[in-house]
Amino acid sequence: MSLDPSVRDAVLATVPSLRAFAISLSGNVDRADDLVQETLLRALANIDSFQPGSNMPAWLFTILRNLFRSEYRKRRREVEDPEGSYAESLKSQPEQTSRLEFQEFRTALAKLPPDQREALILVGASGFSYEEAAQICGCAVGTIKSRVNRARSRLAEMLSIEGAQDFGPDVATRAILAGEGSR
Amino acid sequence: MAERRPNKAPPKDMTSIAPAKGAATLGPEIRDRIARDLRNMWDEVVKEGVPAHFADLLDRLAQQEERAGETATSPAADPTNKGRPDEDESKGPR
Repeated sequence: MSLDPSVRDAVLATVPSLRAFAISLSGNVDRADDLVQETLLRALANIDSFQPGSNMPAWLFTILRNLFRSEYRKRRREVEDPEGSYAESLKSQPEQTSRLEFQEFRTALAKLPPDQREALILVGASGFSYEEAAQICGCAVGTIKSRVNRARSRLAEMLSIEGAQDFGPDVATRAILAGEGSR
Repeated sequence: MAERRPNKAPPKDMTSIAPAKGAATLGPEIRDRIARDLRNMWDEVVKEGVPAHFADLLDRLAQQEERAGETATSPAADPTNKGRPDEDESKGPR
């Protein structure tokens, strides 16, 4: 049996998102790439267990998440990113947000409990539904919702956000963005 | 007649149904801001695309699968060792 080109393409198309998820979990680009590679190996070794027509990204995310959790139990101390090395490792920042604020955001995200971080990333960044995120994490939908709420609240606390004006572009940047938007 | 009261007192831990601590103070604007920064962070990695070594890895694995498949489907191979006889048919050509 050879690998169906459509399956190969579907797997490959998911790699960028898998990397983003792995980086958000591990806080380290090199370890994230190792995780993605191991995920691909596992996925292709067990490709027969994938149901054609079902959700390939969710299947791959589940494998990656399980690999990470398994590794996390072994190397718990190395997984946390208290110094924000993950935040340091990423190269640029979005134009809409000032560098300092975005760096703070990443550092705060890295300090969230892993359960909350992965729930927030799956729902808030990767675009999975609550149901899909629950399937990936192997828990109830309500649990995912609770974790996402807690994650948002903790982020707001860590970043001392009391109002929208405290988060995001500073006054000057907002003025520039508003000017661009009105053109 | 005394009013009936529920046997069980409300749980002290309401975390399973109540909003998380502080959640009530998060307005839609703040949630939108968090969502936007999450998306920005995510997109920053995604827009890097597929690193070449992952594409190479998949190609190598596909070739290995193909070679393994050729061996398994050769006349010398025993089809009864592959599990259910209709397994491959149900999956269509690879």
